[in-house]
Amino acid sequence: MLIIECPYCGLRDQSEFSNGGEAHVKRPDGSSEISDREWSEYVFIRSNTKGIFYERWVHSHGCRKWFNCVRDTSTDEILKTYKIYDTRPKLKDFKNLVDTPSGEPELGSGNFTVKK
Amino acid sequence: MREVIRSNEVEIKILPYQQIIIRGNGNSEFNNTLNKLFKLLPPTDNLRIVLNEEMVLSKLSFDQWNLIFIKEIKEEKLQIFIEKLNKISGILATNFSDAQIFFQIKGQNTYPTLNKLTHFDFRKKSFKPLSAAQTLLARIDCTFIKFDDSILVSCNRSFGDYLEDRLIDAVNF
Amino acid sequence: MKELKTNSSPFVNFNQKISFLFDGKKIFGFKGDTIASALLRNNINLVGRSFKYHRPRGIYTCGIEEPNALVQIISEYSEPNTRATIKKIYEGMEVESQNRWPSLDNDIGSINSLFSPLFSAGFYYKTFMGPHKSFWKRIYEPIIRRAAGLGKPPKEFRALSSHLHHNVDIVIVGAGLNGLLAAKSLINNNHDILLLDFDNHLGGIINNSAKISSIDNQSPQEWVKSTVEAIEKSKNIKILKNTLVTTYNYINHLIAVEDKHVGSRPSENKVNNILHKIRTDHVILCNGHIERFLSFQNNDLPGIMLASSFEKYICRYGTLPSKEPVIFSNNSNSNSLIYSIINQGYKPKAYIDSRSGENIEPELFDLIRKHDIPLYTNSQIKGVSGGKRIEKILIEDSTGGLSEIHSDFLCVSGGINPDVHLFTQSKGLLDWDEKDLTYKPSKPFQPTITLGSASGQFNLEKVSDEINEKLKIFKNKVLDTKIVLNTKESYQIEKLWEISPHKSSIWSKSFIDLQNDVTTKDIRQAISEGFDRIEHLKRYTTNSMGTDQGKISSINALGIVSDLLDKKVNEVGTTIYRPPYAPLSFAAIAGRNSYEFYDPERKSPIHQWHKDNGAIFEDVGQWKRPWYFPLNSSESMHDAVQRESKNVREFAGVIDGSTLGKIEIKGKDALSFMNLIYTNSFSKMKPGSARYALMLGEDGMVKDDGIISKISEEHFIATTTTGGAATVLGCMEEYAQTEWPNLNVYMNSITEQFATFNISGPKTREIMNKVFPEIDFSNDAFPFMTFQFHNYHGMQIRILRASFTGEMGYEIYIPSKNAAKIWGQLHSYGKDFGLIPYGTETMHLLRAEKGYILIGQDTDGSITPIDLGLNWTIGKTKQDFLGKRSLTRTDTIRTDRKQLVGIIPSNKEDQLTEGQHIILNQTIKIPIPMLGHITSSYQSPTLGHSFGLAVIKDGHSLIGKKAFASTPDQKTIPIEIVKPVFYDEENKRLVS
Repeated sequence: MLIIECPYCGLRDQSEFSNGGEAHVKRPDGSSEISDREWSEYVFIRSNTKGIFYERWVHSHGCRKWFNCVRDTSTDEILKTYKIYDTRPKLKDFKNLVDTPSGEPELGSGNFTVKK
Repeated sequence: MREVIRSNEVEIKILPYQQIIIRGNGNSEFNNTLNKLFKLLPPTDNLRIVLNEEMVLSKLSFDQWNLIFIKEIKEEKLQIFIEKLNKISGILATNFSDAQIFFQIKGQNTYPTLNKLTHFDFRKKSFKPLSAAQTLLARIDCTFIKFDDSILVSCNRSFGDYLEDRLIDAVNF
Repeated sequence: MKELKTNSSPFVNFNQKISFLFDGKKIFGFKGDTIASALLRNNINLVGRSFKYHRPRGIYTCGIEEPNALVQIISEYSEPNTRATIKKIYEGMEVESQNRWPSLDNDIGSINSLFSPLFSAGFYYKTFMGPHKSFWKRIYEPIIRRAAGLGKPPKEFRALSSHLHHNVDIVIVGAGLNGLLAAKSLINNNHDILLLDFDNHLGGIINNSAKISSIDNQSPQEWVKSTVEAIEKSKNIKILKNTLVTTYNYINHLIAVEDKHVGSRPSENKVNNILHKIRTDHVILCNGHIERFLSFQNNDLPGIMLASSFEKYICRYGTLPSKEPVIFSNNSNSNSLIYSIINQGYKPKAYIDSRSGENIEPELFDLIRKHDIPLYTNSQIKGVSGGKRIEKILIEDSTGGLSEIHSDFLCVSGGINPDVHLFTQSKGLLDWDEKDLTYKPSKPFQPTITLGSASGQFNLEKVSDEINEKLKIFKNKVLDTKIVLNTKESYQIEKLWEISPHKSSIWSKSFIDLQNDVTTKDIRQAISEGFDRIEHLKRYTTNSMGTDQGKISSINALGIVSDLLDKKVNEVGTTIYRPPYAPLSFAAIAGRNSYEFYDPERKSPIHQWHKDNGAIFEDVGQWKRPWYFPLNSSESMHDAVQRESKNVREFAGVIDGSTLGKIEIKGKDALSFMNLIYTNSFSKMKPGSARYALMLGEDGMVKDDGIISKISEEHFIATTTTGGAATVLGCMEEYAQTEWPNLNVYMNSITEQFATFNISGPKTREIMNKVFPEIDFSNDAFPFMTFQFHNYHGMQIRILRASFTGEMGYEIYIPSKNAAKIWGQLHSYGKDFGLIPYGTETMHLLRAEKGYILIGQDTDGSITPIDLGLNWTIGKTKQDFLGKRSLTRTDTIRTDRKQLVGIIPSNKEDQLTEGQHIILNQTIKIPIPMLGHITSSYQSPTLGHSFGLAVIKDGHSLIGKKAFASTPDQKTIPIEIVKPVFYDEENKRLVS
């Protein structure tokens, strides 16, 4: 279980939250002027980033507020949470903190030297 | 439903508090309206509470305040409060008196007992007296208000029996 | 019982004799004994049969690392796979050995040993493949799989367990020498600390061996006592004994199980296990080390034990498993065992050390010479032999000469490993130490500190230096603890993993994993078959995949593989140890979230009335809803539903609809918001009117429906389905917060504030006039789909004219606390008009007759409003609403989509069943094209026959056609496809 910082309630256990998928995906205006492709990109397509990822969470069993989060999907480290209206933090502000993005070595899985 | 449960250094009381949920943006019109009606200035910090002898006003997030009447008021008076609040189009006030159950819990073993049912960190450094928190207790959405010597737990009415049973079970096991 | 003249132990009460049953035989031990120590006292060593080959197995260790001595505790809900080496005995305990039939001594399954060449590496993948697929069902599954295995799962059990959450600053895992010292240095420090140990006596190595002579000039036991007392007095430290940390999760989240009934029968009304869920900022791992074994021929025979375990039986339990064991070691850790045995007044029959003489500690030499113990240096054990116990030991000395010793006990030490399980669970990384020949913690992934042998620091004299250095960050008290040792040693080891047998045959075995019956030959075979990556090899051979996770053997496997591949151990790598550290019972995991507390229950404000009136309840989400109200115990559900349905159509009925979701929406932009959320347009609606509305997902599929009441342009009340209440509110909040934060609108759930009673039927108006005499219910004053607020005895109620049954009806919204009063009045006034309460099943039947859909039953997330024939709900002139653009996607404008239709059997006696497929052919020949399926079906008392709703391909244009419904026995029922409305198509009853 992760510990997630709700921008309104502070640090809480993951069990209080629900994940809302990728953040900063703008909903196109529902008018019919946009193409099938554009609309389907919005409805069905999300990126599946390995590494630093912008995603949405909602404090569903707390204040019920949505917020955004920067998480390293390879280590599960939460790098930042911010309010929904706050500007998106820049990618270059973050760096992967473990040596390999996945944290998994090529051989075996537990020892250090092999990982290098 | 029992009114008071006492066991293992824990006392649980079920209280018939009335409650209004007030939604709004916390601007000066909002603050003035509440202050005029209830003689309480709404807290500006999240999860802080202000109180007087009749009511407790807590801010639960940037657009939600809960007003709990710890002294019973007439239903008609409550309706008038709600109507007055709802006259302002930037405010939604909802009578929540019938929607929730309140448990007042105190005694030496209060927090160890509650920690059988929730991961929530009750330590003073994480959860100060006179503050509120919304979290899970026995897998039910609950609101906590911490006072110096007790904690007020509220949950939706339909879960009341289940939560009461879980609390009694937690006290006794 | 063996009487040992020097047996003494502060942890066993020799004045309190205890008897228990082992395989039906009465055995005596003492208070404080484990099953294993009591059995050893009685000279019993055969305790189980092995996993695959059913080989006789004995007690190999004295702790949680035990691979062999797993037993079933019959007197504790038949708990299987319990480690005999840690489970304490109590009077009347019943224990059974596992995986043997008919008895431990005569086990038919041991015939498997003869077929052992079949069960080699990868046998799961090879053997069970052929020759025919029926072999799995007829032979492998019933016979071979049953022959392999451990204990039997209990059939019926109810262990009482509870959970307890902790939030602390520091957790110290292990209260041995290092854990106690670490805690001591943090006494009255301003951190909240939990000190956990899985033993009921703290002290670890101090209790388990004779290595330490004194600490700070006190005897070790006195030191432990005074230190524990000081820690217990400290305000900031809490000690949990008998508590095993099984899991070290991300963000310093630990799971530990506390055994609350150590040494006593589990109580039926007290908690027996507590699952501690701990969140902390720092973890200090002081969980020590584990000794490993060595592989040689027949290294699994009963009578072989780890050297440190033998010493633990002496020091911890005051029993000597054998008076003259042979000792075989490649390292200095077993020196203290010789010291301990001599202390008891006995001596080893022989000491065999693979190290050459100059590497052996001079003190050990002196001790061995002084007591005239036969010594073999630079020597190895080639193998042992015996039946159900070892009898002979074959030794190869430094010159290659062979000699044989007769002995029934052998102590083995292959070196020690830091117990890195928790460290690797935390995702910390390990590094190979070429000198100490073991993996040691290297780089923590979390704020984890390792101390003492858990960190690979094996020198007992240096423990306080390490603590002073590593705990500086906590501003701890600086320690200056003086530790004097009995056996001067700094850990020294020589490489040795496996000794090849003198003569080998296809039946000879050197085990590398005792619990899973993996031999060193299996490892060779796996490598020769190409499984030379350690993760592949592990899964192919099942090495270290038992419940012990190879605690005494997994490093040996890495050593053997590295030699075979001619690579360094570091290049071979390790596999990851996974949680749990040791098996924990499901009862502990479930805690109190089981049986009556399994899932939170929600009850309507008038639940008690339903109970008092004989309602049979149905679970709808977490809600308990009346399903039907049988007249008496002999009325079946079918009869009750037929009666209730008829009654509503002829007179009147009322259902408790309090579970329906209710949401109050208000704000300057409430109208725009509602227009965006629902398909319908609410712009032209008059305040005081209501409208049936659909909510779609962005993919255009129907998600929920409900009735929207417009109080004003800025104020609405929406109802939702019972199951959709949370989703709809969640969806509104999501869009209000994330997509349209510029809209001024707030929403509150008022589901719990108001009870809802839906009354309908031809007599409804008369009943309502009686209950609310001051309200005008005439059609003109209160038309269909309008609502009114009224004051009723000082409280505000709302009445909405709407119906889900097809009869004229009202929905009454009353504050919950007073709901029972109005419900009672409805019945007392309604009795004369034939009013009855009805449940959800009748509601479903009535709405289906009318062709009203039920979200989640007639829809499944792949149905659009157009598929349902509900085009009229779509506000055509609206610019935008959720899912609007999706209604013109290529997929949603297909004409052959599944569409909602009604069906009736051509032959009126035929019964339709939900889920039946609709097909065009009368005879079934598989495969057969399927048009769709029946989503709802009931026997209608009004129509006098069965009917159904179905979703079928191109359904709207098939109306009027004939088709067939298939039955499970591949027969067909002729049906007619009709419009999905069976009752009052003109809505006359609804609006009059």
